[in-house]
Amino acid sequence: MTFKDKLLSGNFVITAEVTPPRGTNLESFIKGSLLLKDSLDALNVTDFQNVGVRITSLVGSYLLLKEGIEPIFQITSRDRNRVAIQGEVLSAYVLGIRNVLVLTGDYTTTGIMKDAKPVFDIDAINILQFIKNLCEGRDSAGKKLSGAPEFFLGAVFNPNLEPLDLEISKLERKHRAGAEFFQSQLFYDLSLIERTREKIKDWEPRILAGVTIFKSKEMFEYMINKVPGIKIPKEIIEILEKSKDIREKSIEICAEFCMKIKESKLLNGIHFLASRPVDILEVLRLLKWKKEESSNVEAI
Amino acid sequence: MKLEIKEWEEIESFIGKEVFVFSCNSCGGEEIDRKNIKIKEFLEGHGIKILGIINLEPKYCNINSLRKILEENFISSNFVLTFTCGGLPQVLSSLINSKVIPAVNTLKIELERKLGSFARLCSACGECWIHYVGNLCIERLCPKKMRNGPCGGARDGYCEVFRERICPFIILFKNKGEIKDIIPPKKFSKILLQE
Ligand code: SF4
Repeated sequence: MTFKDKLLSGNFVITAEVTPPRGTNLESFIKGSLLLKDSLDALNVTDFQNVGVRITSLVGSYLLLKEGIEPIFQITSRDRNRVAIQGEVLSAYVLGIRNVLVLTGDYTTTGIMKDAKPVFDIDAINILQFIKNLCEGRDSAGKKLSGAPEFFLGAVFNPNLEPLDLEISKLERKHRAGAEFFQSQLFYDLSLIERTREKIKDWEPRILAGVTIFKSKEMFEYMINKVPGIKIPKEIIEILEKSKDIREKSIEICAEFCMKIKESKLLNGIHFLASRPVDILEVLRLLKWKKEESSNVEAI
Repeated sequence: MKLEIKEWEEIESFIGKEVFVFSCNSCGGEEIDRKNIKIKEFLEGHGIKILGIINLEPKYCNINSLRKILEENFISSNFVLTFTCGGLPQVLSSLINSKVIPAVNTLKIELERKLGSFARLCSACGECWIHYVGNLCIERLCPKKMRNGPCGGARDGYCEVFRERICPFIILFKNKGEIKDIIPPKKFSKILLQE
């Protein structure tokens, strides 16, 4: 079963993000991804994460496909205008990529290559509309395509945003624009999802909960201070700051929260953000979760 | 300053049968009498009654003068159309209770001319869309120029990029509530084709 089939048929799915290498050495990217292959349902490939020069998400996704791993190809509008985005997405389809996660992208100055010119030609909702159009056989200038792609389209949801109703209204518009699944930002408060579900009556959004494992103090501080849209509750900050081994404690907290997420039945899966494959496996080991069904993606 | 009157279809759905008009000499770019004839033809041609016109000369294009002018010459109306740059409709909407709609697109602001002070608020983006978003100029206020709501990077209401500034979409939400429509992407050809 593909990621799409599993999610749509009600399975609890697990995904994680992986970041293509900075440089031409693919070894650790492939090795890390292969570690996750048998335990996860799909891997998100980030798009120039943290405004850093890397192998593109398109090539990263293709490399995963070659290893028999189902990719979720991430695309943002920070570095590409509408021409490049549509071209990139068509290219992804011919390479065999079927899942696309659409994001607007973090601003250039919040990341590494601060001096780059930000593009932001179109926002996430408009990207979704454009990809949906491509799937219907036309580009955004109205030109007819010779052969249309078919994608399982996703978008992000940030339950930390206040007021939450504003984010829920965006979730609805993203859905109208073509998004069929959502992966959330890191959050720790399940009542936010409860409120989201209560508010949306006429359809059931498929939402994967964003979780993370802080591998070090530096990463923890970086996530708190630098990554846009993240909010970590005081209690968790205190526990982690006091702990002798932040990684170990973080794995424990993550596993506990994953368990709560699954039991709550409020979410359709887990999405590991910015976490090392070995740490993800450690969380899954604690949880004793098995992949519900093996993926049928074959190496190409 | 170079302005163009919007397509009727864009304005139509925002107004009723009677409007009050604000006009100006486009910071010296147009002869005001000639401009107002065009405005009358445009509105009356579409069956709209003009309740009154205020011509805002550049020297009165500032908040104190505007307050005075409003007290003396403004006739309350549900709908106000501005045929000025995008600065005035941003300011006006906080001073009067009418729905204020920009009836023109500002294509270009030439800096060598003497500008009215509200011109500084206009991004001259070629496709004024403030009436969709509570008369806030997102072009000016949002670094990512989001069309459909906040980017998700805001923290406690503050912008991901300028951390001391409230994200305009949060102001909009607090003032107006949910936005249901999806705003299509910007058409850049308009400004790109300005010499
Ligand atoms: S936080 Fe608001 S103003 Fe800042 S970039 Fe995002 S949408 Fe724009």
